Amino acid sequence: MQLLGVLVRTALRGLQASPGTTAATVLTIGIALFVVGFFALLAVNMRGLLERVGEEIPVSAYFASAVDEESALGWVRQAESIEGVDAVVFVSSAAALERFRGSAAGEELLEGVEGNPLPASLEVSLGKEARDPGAVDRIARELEAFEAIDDVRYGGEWLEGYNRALQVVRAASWGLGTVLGLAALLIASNTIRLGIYAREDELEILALVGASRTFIRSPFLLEGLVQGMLGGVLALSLLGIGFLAFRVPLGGGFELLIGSAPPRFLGVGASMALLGGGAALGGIGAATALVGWRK
Amino acid sequence: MGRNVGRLGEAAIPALRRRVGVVFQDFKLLARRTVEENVRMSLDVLGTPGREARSRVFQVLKRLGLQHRRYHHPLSLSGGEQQRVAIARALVTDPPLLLADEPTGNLDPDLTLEIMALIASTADRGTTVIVATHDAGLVDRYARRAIRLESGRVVEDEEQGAP
Repeated sequence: MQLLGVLVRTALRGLQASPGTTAATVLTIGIALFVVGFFALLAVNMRGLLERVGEEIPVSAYFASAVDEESALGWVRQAESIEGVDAVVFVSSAAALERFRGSAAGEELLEGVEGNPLPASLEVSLGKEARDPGAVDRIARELEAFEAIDDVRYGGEWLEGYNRALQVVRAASWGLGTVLGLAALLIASNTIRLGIYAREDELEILALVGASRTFIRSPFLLEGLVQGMLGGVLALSLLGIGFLAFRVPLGGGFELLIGSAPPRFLGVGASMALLGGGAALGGIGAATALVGWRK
Repeated sequence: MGRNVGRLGEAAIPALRRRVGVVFQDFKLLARRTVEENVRMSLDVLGTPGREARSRVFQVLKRLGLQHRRYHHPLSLSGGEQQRVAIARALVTDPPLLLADEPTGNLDPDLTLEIMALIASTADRGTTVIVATHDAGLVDRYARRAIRLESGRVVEDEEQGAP
């Protein structure tokens, strides 16, 4: 315990001794993690939007001709048995007309139209596990196979394009994260190596009074871990500030696009992963700096 | 020590060094640390608890007449005082063996006698002391066992100093 106290004290003294290089390492790791965190935040919110799409825009299956309540109930039950379907609501031709009249330009458009041109339909809500383009396609095909169904609409192209964009964002997050992470690793390793050279006299004396290799090296590893953690805290703080600043305008934009979907911040797990990633970058940087150094 | 230290593996060297106090010609003190912190390094390596370490550092500095200098930095001390700090660092762990490598090589004659008197008193307290020096006159001044080396070989071994 006493030894641990000495090692921590030595590490803190090392950080204080070179505030410039410490700040440079923290900043580099912070920027790398900020970029990774930014894309992760984007992906989380895009994924969130996708879930809302599944909840708010159901798949609509239109009947070819008028159906009575009893046979409609049979189709509802059949649709409910499809894997991935959460709920099915029958919308009669009359109910569809009523709903259309209630919409903004509905009454005006229906002027001069005789009878009811709107078909009856099944509105299908998807389960969480089925909110991806592949699953929606499959469910749409199964609905189309019903002999009473004429057409199925679900915004498949939009969903597919959106999902592709989500994949691009995820790939960019990993790609940029890897490149910037390596750069941060290199800088952390080099600044810690500079710290080792600057304190060689101290390390030599420690070795002469009987310090073990672990005793001499541990403070540098601790320094790396602390610098990495501080980089993680910096990245999280910048993301948090940015999120709070842009939440309102971004939220408005999303609402215009697909309806209400409040922006979300990174979860506890992702935030911890960012901090842990920072600590790992700093720790590995320090370990690499110590590899070639023998005392 | 009872062991052939020439055959020690690299991993065993730190443990050996913790049992041997060493004083160098160039003092090897850290300019950025205070006298107290310099002396305490030997105890830190042993994991000595904070309060005990402070007390032992104070005791050894008092014995060497440096207690009033404990918060000073080495560069503000005279050469003799710096060497006394180095001796304090070597003695603070109460090692059974003290090695002094040209401990007076960088000091003027008066300071040389002062430092040698300190080292002699350490030997009188029961610590085995080995002093390496080129100054034969200094060896003669203390009637102790003297071993003369030439090119790494023992050429003379006198019980009471050089003749």
